[in-house]
Amino acid sequence: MDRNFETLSQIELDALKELGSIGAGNAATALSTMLSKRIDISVPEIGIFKVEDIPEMIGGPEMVRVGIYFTITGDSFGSMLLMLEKDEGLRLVKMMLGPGFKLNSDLDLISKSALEEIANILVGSYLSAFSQFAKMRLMQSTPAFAYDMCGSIIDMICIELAQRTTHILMVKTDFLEKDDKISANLFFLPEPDALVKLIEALGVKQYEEGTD
Amino acid sequence: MKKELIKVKMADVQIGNSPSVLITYGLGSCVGLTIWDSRQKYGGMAHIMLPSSKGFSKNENFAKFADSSIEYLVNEMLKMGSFKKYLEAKVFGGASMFTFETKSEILNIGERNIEATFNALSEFGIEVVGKDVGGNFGRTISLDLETGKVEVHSIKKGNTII
Repeated sequence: MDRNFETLSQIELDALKELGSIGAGNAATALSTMLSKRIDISVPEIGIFKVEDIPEMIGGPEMVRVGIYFTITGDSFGSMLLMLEKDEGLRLVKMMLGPGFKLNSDLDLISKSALEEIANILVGSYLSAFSQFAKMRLMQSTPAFAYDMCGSIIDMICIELAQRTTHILMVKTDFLEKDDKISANLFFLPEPDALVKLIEALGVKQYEEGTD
Repeated sequence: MKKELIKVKMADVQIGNSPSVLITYGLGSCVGLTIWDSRQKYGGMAHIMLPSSKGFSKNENFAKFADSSIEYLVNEMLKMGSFKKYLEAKVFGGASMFTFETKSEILNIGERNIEATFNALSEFGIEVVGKDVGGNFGRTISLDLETGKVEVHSIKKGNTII
């Protein structure tokens, strides 16, 4: 069944937002615990978009971005991609590692590792929220790192999807520590069934809880 | 005089005349193909995603695939009065943007796209006069329809002219 993702019902939209908050909450707890300081994560925007719209959504295909990529396996298949600007990435690493840590202005091995680890935690948190809601077992691969024009980064994933699906779930994510805010975009690129199952499960869950 | 920029999107083919410039951004594993008519000074560019249209329905966008987009581009140019001996092809992209421990079909897509492109060009008898393929970095390419030269921009290598 070909589901038109562009017209989600209010129930489904609300459930999606709740899903985003739960994922963000999980990630904030994990990061705060790991770093022994308070990190908040908010989801200013979550929605379903066409794959080919991604480059425009992050400023155009020629914009250079950090991209951290995971394949998802288990009861369903797909990928997760975290994208952010290099400077935001470096600030995020600094946020995590603390003011005493001297950071290069470039992406060295330490920053790349730190970003991969942060991405790992973030993706794991969202996946566990998705898995719970949609009653699916989902596992992520180890992260792969790229720093290049975002069109090129998305490119390979689009090819993968060109054979299957047309829509992706985008979760705008802000990391907050005291007055500092860092923005990133998390894209969940699922195989078609996975997104349908997820949306349906969300709709059912809201219904069961009696919210409207 | 500022030249008109004709943008070629992912899974798209465009044809333009001198003095315009055909451009496509952010080639990763996709292949960017240019064919330029040195006699009539016009040409086309394709942004190819997959090697072969076999196994896909006829309703699929033909420009996604190397074989069908090259067939389309060559036939259009022949219709427009080109002779094959004046057609110059150049091939770009087909990189591996991410490296994983295990190789799989999808992760080799860059190489498969390059191979399918060269095969299709050979099948149609179009000579390849330049290329910048492979590697692990993205490329933006622009074909100057007046000169037939392609400028390749990447953040790793800067700008090169092919």
